[in-house]
Amino acid sequence: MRNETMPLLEVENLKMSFTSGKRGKKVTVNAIDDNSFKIYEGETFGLVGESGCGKTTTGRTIIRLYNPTEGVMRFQGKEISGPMTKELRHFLTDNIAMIFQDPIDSLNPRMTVEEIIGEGLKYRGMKNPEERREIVYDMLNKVGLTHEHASRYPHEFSGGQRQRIGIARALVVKPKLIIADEPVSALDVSVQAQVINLLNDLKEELGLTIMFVAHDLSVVKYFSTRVAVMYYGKIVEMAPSEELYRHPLHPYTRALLSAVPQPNPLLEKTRQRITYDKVRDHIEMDEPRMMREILPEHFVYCNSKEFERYQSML
Amino acid sequence: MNKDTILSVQNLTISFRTINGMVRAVRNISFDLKRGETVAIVGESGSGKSVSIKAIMGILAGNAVVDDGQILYEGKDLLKFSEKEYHKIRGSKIGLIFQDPLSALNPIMKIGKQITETLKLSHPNMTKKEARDRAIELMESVGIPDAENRFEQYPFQFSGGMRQRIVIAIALARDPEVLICDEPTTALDVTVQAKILDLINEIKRERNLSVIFITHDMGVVANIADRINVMYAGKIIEKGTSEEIFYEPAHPYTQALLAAMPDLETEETLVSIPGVPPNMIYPPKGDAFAARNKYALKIDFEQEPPFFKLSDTHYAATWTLHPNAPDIEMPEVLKNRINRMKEGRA
Ligand SMILES: Nc1ncnc2c1ncn2[C@@H]1O[C@H](COP(=O)(O)OP(=O)(O)O)[C@@H](O)[C@H]1O
Ligand SMILES: Nc1ncnc2c1ncn2[C@@H]1O[C@H](COP(=O)(O)OP(=O)(O)O)[C@@H](O)[C@H]1O
Ligand SMILES: [Mg+2]
Ligand SMILES: [Mg+2]
Repeated sequence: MRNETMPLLEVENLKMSFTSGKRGKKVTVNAIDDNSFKIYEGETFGLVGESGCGKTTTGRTIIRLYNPTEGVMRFQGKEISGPMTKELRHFLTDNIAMIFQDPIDSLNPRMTVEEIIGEGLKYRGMKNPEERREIVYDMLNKVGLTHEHASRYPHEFSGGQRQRIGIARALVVKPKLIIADEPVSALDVSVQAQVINLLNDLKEELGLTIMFVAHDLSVVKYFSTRVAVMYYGKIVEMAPSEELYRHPLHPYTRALLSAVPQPNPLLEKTRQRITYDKVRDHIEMDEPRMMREILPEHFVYCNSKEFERYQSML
Repeated sequence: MNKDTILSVQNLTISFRTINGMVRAVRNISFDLKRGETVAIVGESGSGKSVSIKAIMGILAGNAVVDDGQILYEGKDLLKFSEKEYHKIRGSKIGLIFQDPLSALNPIMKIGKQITETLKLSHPNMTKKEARDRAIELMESVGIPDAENRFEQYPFQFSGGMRQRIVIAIALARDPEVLICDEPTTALDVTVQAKILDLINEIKRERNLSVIFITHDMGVVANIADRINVMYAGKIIEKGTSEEIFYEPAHPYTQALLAAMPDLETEETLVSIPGVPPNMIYPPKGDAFAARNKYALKIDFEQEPPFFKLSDTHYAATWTLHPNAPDIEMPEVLKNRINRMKEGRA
């Protein structure tokens, strides 16, 4: 059973808050509000939610661009949430790589594609440029580019090609976990599928584990084996993707699903939207809410009365 | 021109002068808008959607050249209008909503005032009190809660969705007959988008508005459109009713576009369209999609396909519909989806 294998990444009670504003008028945003989840080797874990719900912050906290406010994170059993050391930084960059929404912001405009992709190898002590070049060429092939692209600069490429460069850069160091933060959101529809299919092929070929972050539920469901739905910093529901789609239980998940546009005019024109109302749609009681397993692997954030209600909906 | 037709775009062709050459942004497009209907223009970025509607609004950039065509509104050609004549219809007869509501609003003017100022353009004799009451009514009609208080607030105090509602209220303040929406929900979250689409559908029904709706999102089109024009590389390559485009797509590009995106039930491999749209300084000869279409025939690279008629309302410009052309197989993912949709309908 999955529960007995060690997860690749474990996140426990993770909190990340940002405080801004001047003295006396401090504002705190709980960008991640006490979330726990595990990502297993070989799976694609989808994280979906609307803008500002904390998806990017989750990815950035895992790779320790931020120091978590509270909580514990482990990668292959090793704690990665403690004080930052040189050794931990190396461990993280060796094992986890990120792919961003618009790679143009993350690709140095003054570096050639070869330098961009090879940079990670250089940092890892691969001194021989010939050796690096060979790996870079191989990587370019893998992502559907050719070695003729190696000497060019990022601005010479289309959005889809830049995303391929971003993917090549992320994969060249052979990380175990890829965090892909809205990797297709900025691309045109006709190019999105190129990138999705590429990621799927590479996942198979290289045995990658992916955390796939996006706001488009159709894409997340298509691409992921499991999906977590996030609302204002909080994961409110988590389940295998087909199960989440068949039995959405949390009222926010249901609202989100009912709003996803579908390429089906007769359905769209008669579709009943579900709106989410934080007050109306919940049952208040003294007991705190927590993630409860309602079906195998299907968790909903709720209290016991809500749990009963959700059970009756199954 | 049919008497139900309120706006008719005929053979519109627009280029832009640039240092690299002429950009052939819109190439001979024609479509009609009938009273009370929503016509969608769908296509990827750069396909010429915004340029087409900027031509209708008379707000093309300075380097634009209208090479050919007519835009008939109530029988008159807008392309021949002077700026003064345009002033009489822009906003008051034809309203426009953009993708980014912030750019449409004045950041330092109270929301209420922005609506009342607009009201006064069409109703110069309105008293202050009347304008205020009418503005609050409009705010309520686009779903702004607590409109009395919101009237006194500034744009930054509104969320993205609420701002787009305000922009819609401002457009409606002048009681236009035609509402043009250029990707009005693209920047919004899906749950907010759903509400804005519902709102546009509702005001369209209530006011018998005619709507031109532009988007790159096929799901959004399915929700909003009565009829659809699919654009690629500056041309309309397929047009039909919403049902025809989604259940019987005929142009390889339309099929590929539908097969490139998953819906909530898709499990098959998506069709990945190779390459990128063409450079519009050198638009390809023949069918502009040929270079990306694995079924392209020799003629696709040589000669521009005419519109082949599939029904009184459904036309597609593709040689695959020529009687002598070999049959092409619809992508698996799309075939299955259409079957699924048809089962759901039965
Ligand atoms: N560096 C930061 N400083 C202050 N607030 C931040 C920072 N990064 C994100 N936030 C806030 O945290 C919340 C979550 O943001 P983010 O993770 O970017 O959301 P998402 O990626 O889901 O759109 C938002 O309210 C955002 O404004
Ligand atoms: N002022 C301009 N000068 C030069 N090219 C332009 C100008 N405006 C638009 N274009 C070009 O015209 C084409 C169509 O643009 P547009 O209608 O904005 O596309 P979209 O379908 O994304 O709305 C694009 O290739 C764009 O770069
Ligand atoms: Mg983000
Ligand atoms: Mg546009």
